[in-house]
Amino acid sequence: MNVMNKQDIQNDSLYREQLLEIYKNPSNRGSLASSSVKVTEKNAFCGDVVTLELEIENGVIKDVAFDGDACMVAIASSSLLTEEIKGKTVEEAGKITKEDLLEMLGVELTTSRVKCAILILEALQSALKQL
Amino acid sequence: MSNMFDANKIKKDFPILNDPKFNEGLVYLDNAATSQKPQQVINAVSDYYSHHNANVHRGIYELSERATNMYEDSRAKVAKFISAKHPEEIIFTKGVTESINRVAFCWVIQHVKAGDMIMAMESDHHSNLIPWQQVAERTGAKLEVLQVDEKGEISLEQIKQKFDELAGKIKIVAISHASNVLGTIFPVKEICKLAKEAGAVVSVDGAQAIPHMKVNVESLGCDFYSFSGHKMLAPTGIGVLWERKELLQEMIPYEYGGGMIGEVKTHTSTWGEIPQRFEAGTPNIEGAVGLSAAIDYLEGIGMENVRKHEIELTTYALEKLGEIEGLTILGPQEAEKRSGLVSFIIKKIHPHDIAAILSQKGIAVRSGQHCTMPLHDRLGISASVRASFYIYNTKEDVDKLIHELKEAKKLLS
Repeated sequence: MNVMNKQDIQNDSLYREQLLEIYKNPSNRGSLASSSVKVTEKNAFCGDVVTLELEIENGVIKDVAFDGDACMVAIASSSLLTEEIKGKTVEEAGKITKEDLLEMLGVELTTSRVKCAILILEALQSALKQL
Repeated sequence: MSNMFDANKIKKDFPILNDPKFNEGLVYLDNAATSQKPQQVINAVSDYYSHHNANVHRGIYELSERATNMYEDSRAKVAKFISAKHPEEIIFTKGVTESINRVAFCWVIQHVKAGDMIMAMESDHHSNLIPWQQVAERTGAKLEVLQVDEKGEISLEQIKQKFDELAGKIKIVAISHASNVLGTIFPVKEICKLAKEAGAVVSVDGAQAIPHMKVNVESLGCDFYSFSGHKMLAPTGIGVLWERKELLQEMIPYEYGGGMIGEVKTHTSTWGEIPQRFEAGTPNIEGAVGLSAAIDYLEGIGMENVRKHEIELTTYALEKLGEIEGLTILGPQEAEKRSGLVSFIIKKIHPHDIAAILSQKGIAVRSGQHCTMPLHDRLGISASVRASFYIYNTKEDVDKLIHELKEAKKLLS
């Protein structure tokens, strides 16, 4: 185990500037006035909760919002995924894999943090199933 | 060594805390999850395998008898450690989860029926809640839960009221000695007295108490007491269920097979003596040997000194944590009312992020719900951070924690 100083932590992939910025100002956080589907996913392991709402028109995700009580990884991941799916067709969104999302995050995650990252993807998959 | 307690000296006995290769600068504050192991315990297990390994209660050769004696000596030592009257009241299990499940499914389920009440604690670890949900579901008994107040305590008035309301119906009271999140030490002795008057038996989850304070099961007045070895310096996979001897006679075996029988015929069998009846199969001999060495180690320090040290550390931690803006401490504000752990939340910062940043600085704390979802729901929070202390932790460890918490706050807000 290497003990890091503050500079190291900021340079470290997980708490690097870009992710912190997304965490502090995430896209699409909030709720929609009207939505086609709304799903809440909970990580039983740590208590993270995210809610995802989709507004779908003619098979296209016209609008999207997420909210939740979750850690930086889950929030940053939710922001990135919701940006990615906005404007995509339901079919395209359904093809996004765990690997795709982890690549968007672009950081090395430990096993327990991978669960945080993919919570929003689980929400998306279960939302699409409900359509 | 009452005036000689020295956490830094104790720390030297723990190889994992003095390991520059893997754990340089490690500040281990997750003792409520599991404790580290002193060289004395590691040596005892190694010594057992190097010199005394054989199956117990089987061979008549000298080696097997020696192994049997070591295993049974451990049972006697555990009995003495918790002031039990008889060694045979000690059943070795794999840990507190198994111990509580045994109470639920080998005694309670045979003694409750539809309409009876089981009283448990909402704030408890899932291992002391789910077995009771299951017993209720399978018998038609009703599960009644005690709730902690805003200070994280349970008032005796609330319990008295429940006993009055449900007079004659409560058959079992399942409580914990100390909360694994709030730290609260509950008034077990008083609860046992009330339960006895109401004709109920009491099962106590001692997981968070026994490593930290002197426990006397007879003076507590409970009927079942469960704990794990690994939180008190012993290896994982060894735990204890103590039960009052009279109740043991009514208990059914948990598992069936070798070592627990009286006589076996093709279609029927009878059971052996207590406690072998409750320990089918080859037991965790190394675990029992390790537990015995752990008890020797703790008694060498003195449980009253362990307690005193943890009160000092917890007092200090409560004071310093209280100075951090936006930080809320869960549970009682007085260290004397707690075991040696402090859980907290920091406004607008998720516990996961706090634990992850602390981890990068070598500080091991727990974040999450600590197997207490109903308690977190009651408190209206999704998760918390828990720092838990033991004999090798120092004020410097607390200082490092406080310093890094402040840094994490700067980084994330």
